[in-house]
Amino acid sequence: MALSPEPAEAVSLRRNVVFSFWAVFLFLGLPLWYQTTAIHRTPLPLSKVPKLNALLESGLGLADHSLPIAVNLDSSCVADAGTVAAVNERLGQSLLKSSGDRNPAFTIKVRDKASDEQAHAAVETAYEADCTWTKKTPLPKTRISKTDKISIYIPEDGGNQVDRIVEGLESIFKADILFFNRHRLGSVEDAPGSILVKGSPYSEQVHFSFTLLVAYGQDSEQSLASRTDSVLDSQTQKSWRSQISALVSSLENSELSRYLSSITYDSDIGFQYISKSDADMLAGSTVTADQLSSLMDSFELQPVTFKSEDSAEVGFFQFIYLLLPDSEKTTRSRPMSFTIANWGGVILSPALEIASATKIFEKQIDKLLSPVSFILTDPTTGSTSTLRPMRHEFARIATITNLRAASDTLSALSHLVTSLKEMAVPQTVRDLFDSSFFEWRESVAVLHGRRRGAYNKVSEQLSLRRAAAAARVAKKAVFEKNMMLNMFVPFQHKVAVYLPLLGPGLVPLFISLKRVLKERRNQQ
Amino acid sequence: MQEKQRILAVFFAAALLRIATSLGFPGIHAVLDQRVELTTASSSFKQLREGLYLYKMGISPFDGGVYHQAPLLLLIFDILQKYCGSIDASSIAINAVYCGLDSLAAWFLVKISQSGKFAGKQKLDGWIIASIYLLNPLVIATNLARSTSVFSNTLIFGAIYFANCSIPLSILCLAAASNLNIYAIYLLPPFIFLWCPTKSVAKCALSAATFAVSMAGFTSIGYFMSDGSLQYLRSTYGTLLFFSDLVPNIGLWWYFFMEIFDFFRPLFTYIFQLYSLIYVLPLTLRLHREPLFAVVTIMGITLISKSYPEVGDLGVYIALLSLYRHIFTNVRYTLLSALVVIHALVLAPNFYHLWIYLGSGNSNFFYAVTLVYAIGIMLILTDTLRATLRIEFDGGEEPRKAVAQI
Repeated sequence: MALSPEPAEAVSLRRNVVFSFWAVFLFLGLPLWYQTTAIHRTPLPLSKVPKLNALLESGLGLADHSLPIAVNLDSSCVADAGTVAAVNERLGQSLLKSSGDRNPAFTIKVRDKASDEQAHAAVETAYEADCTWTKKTPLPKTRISKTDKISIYIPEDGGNQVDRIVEGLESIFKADILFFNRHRLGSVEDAPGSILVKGSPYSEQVHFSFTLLVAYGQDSEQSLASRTDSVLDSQTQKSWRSQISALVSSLENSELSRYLSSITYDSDIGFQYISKSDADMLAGSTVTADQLSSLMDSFELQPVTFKSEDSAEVGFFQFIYLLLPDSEKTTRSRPMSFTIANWGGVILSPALEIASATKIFEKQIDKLLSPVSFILTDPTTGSTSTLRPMRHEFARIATITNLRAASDTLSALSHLVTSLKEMAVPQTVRDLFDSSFFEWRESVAVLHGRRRGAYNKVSEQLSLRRAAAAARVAKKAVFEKNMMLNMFVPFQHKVAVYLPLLGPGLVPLFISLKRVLKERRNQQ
Repeated sequence: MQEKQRILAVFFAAALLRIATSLGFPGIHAVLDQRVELTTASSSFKQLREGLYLYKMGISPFDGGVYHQAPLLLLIFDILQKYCGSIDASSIAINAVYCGLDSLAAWFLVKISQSGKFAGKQKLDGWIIASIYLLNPLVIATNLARSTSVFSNTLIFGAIYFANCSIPLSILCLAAASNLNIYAIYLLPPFIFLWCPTKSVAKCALSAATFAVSMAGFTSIGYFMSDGSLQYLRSTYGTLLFFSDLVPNIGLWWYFFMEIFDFFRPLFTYIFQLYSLIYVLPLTLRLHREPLFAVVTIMGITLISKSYPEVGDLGVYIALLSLYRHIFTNVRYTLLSALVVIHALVLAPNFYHLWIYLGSGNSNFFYAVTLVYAIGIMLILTDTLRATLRIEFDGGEEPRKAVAQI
């Protein structure tokens, strides 16, 4: 039975229905699809980032690299004219420029052959004795002035003298402030009796560890075995803690507070005995002042002795390097030996002179919060001297650390954005980038003295604050939520999502449209 | 008279059942309110009471993600609390309100079935239609859970009823229903055809404009209650449209949005909302001679495609379908679709319990059941739509031969 032709009204109705589907799809669906899936990449001024690094590398806080130098060869040295020329040429390619006709600002003395331990560049200042830079006590200088003289010791085995000289000089002039910083701002955790001193919001944390070692007299009857972990009685401990707390509070109100955001006293002070042998320890023998001193000697540390108000002598040691429990230096230490942190101190008190020790402690922590003192020993003469960098270098160091962190972070962001072409970059990232860059430039301008006149205490704080802001904002830019959450979705993933989502709907749409168009053509 | 008596008996029995259950088991309201199948973020009575408490304390209930329902409900319950005291779920006032609403909805249904729309067609008796609604376990459970969707459902029935006798009231009812449940706005195109059977452009435009003004009026209630701020729109309609409250329910959205990457979230939100919207105009055009059936079909589509569906919506859909007795002879998959839906409704609370309380199942269990539920509803939708179109094709006549039914 043949079907009767469809009425025109039905055909028209079907056409309207199909077009209404298409109208919703085209005028609502497509714009919404584009709006919700388009990757918005705000352009970032990435070309500015390498310039930051260049500015930092140009010696923001380092010595004047372009000072002319001359090499004066000691009569006893083995270097010849060819070596001198080679040294000059190599140095000219790296950091320094040869003097030419100008008066040399640096005089390099190539001295006699020295022991292997001394075969590194040394820094010699006009007003300090010759010092040796060894592997164990590196002495980087943060700023080298024109009056500096540089001595380089050539090792006995000779080797490539040019390389040695150049390496030594490069080591000095590239003496990274971070190197200085790293050794000064290390952290120690779980150290007994540590006081956690938090740096200002713009610098790293600094941990101070102090251990009170109390020597008892020979006639002391107290044995270790009878003691618990707390060496002193509870009353003394309480007294000690209250004094430490008072000290912590006074530090917060002192001039040092500009380096510190908060000082917290977070752990009990541990007191430990050191004795000659394990057996002695276990047996609970007493420890004398001599025994303590000899132990300190074994660490090759020079005590500084102070006289307290009541004339009792109190020894105080400062350390600048970290000793780990299993390190070479502490192999002789006992299971109950202590970890001495850099920036730490051990107070030796011949008697239970807590009040005196506290006063000394207070003075020493003041010194320690200043840039560290290096105790330098001349291997030839045996004399010691103290190198004290300028106090404001601490803030400067922290500033430069932050500036480096900011530029590294912005470099990472630049790399991330350029390598992941399909990653969304929202406008907030651009705003943060610009903000970080602005703070960076302002901090450097202050460091260079282009704002507020000369670089002084006020400007150092301002520079530090801006550098910290630059580092903080740069980090925020990298970990911006919208960018990280929408990391990137490759095109293949998108197709894998769109096909099953839109495909089943599009097929009937196209088929119905095809039919409608065919009917229209037949009608015509 | 017998018919009337039967209808009254059904009303009485339904009311008695509801009140007796409420009084005999006062704790049942809290238990059912917790069920994700019966109440959602957009209809929870507990959230309504929290919102009301905050409102009375002078704190905006629309901040903090506590309250996502229409401000109109806050106003209604505020007045109720003022005059009736306690608005506890088992209180007399709330019992009366909810029983009254269900009875009113059933009365609207009966009157719709007795209207001229269904003259000359096979139809069920009024008391049967009332029973299908009032004695439906899904409707009873929704009522006892004190879901606020009862308000919008009653208003939709009222809008359909008043479309015959009083168009302004019908417009008002639909505007109020849309204010309480944003998805009711999808019913506007078929309702325009109900209000203007002659399809005069001027009349249609006037009806639409009146609806818009009514809608604005109801929306302004929230504006004044929020001290002149439109922030509440984000918390109320925004939650429904953008699916901000990610909570499992009997719908299809929550599982997708738990799994998808954030990159695709806006796309999926818009596509899912578009999926329910895209059928409105074509269905209205195709069923322009049966606008009421277009209303029923669109309600069936939103039943599975909206962001926060409930099983009470199925009860409403079934009740509206019961008006179309004459298409039942053309329906093929009655048993299949009924069994699929019943199985899904029985398994859903069990799988939810396994997943959430016992920890021996996972979300896939519950989501599989919601998929089965959606398949069952779609079977009913397509079957009834096909049956209607077939009758239309046959010129409104009964089928010449019996249709094989599964």
